[in-house]
Amino acid sequence: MTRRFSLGAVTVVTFLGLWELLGRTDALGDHALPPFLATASALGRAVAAAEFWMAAGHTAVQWALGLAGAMLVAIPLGLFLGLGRLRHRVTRSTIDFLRTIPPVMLLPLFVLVWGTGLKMVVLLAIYAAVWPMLTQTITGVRQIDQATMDTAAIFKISAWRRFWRVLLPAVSPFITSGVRVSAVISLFIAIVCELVAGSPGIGQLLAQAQLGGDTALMWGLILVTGVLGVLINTVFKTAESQLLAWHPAYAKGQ
Amino acid sequence: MTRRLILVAELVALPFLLVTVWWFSSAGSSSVFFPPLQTILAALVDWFPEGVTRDVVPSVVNLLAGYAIAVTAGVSAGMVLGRVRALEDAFSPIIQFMRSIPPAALLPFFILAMGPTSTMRISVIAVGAVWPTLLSTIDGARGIEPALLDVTKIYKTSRLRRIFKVLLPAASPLILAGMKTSLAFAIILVVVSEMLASTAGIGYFIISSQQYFNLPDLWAGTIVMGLLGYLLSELFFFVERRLLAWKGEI
Repeated sequence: MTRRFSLGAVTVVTFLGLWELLGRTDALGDHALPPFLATASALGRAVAAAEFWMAAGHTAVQWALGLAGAMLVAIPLGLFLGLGRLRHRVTRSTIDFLRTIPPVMLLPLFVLVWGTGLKMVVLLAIYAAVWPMLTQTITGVRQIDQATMDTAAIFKISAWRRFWRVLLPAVSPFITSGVRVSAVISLFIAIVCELVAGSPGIGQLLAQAQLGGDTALMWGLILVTGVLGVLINTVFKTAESQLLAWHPAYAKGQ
Repeated sequence: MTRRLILVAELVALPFLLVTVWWFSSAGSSSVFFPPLQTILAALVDWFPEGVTRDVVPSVVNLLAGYAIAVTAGVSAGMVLGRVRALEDAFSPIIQFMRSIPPAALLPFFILAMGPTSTMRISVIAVGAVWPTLLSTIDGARGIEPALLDVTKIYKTSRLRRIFKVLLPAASPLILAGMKTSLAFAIILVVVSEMLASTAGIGYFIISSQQYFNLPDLWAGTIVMGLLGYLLSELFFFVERRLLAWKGEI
């Protein structure tokens, strides 16, 4: 553990040193890559201003609403489609088609219909984030051993209890891994909307920094998006292992 | 024969129904945003075939070039990092951070450094789409059974043969899973890069139709982009099945 940590720390410091060096010598030209210390101080100045926190708030709200909306659609629909053989087979081709088409292509259309505000970003994020959870939930329901459900039925466990105590626990590992992927996708989409359509948020500040040639701030904001990504990953990974601590596949690791 | 027929019916019934509903519900539409499907298809026919060479080919060429670099880099680096524990420990924090950056967030930098060029698009795809392949190749390489390696040692298999005949095949299911996500990243990046800075490509066609408020073209472009994404992922699925056929699992 400590060896791991120190090795990692050494590489990170070396990496930042290399960045500083490349920045000082302007190795890429046009100050496209400013020194790391300049980036850090630009970021420090940005963080002190209210504008940054407003933008971060917009991104966070758009991300959260996109993910929550997608969960509300995908999980019930996935359970419903997974539970019926015919339902599953008839909808499969349509779902497979829709989930493989790149969601960003819908952005210009969404902008014309709903403008560039929160509503448009959330709708596109929902559209994009639905698919991983939907397919995962369907797969989760389909893989439940029929014997498990039959046993529950034989013991005359009520449908309500069967849903909460048998079906949902069996599907939950699939749902949580779908949610994890969707959380990242929702952030990707929020950033793309802000960057391309100028919806309020970190991506918009990023585009402004690029257009204004403020490369130090631009790199600082790129780092911020990375921090957001790391936060989302960590929070959802931790929540997943907490929620599923009872599950054999997760309990083993502890 | 009837089984086959039922299977085909199951596959096409819902898409057919949806398109039919779209066709009739939009037929008399006077809404600017939702033109009749007939008008959209007419725009699509107008766009074809010059549109393919003008808009689709440049996008696909940049996409494949960037993707090829990302995959080659991801697989080779991933095999090394997955087999050498110290290297993985050393690079893991940086990799974990880099892969958390939404790929599109890197675009402003690449546009600034390289301008609206093909090089810019290829570079941003190479850098932005490498992470899923890299991470799952590391997982795949780390998970190779030690017994398999012992056998190659006993047989004194040459290094090259060991890599291409044993290590890579053993890690291939995970590598391919990562490559699939990388492909999705690459498609997003090529489209977004064309929307932000370009004068050609399918992303440019869509965004310029939007700016000229040409809704039928916008819808047509969106449909073409959707079909392109679908075709690419089907092609990937086909290749994946071929490559993993020897495993007998898929």
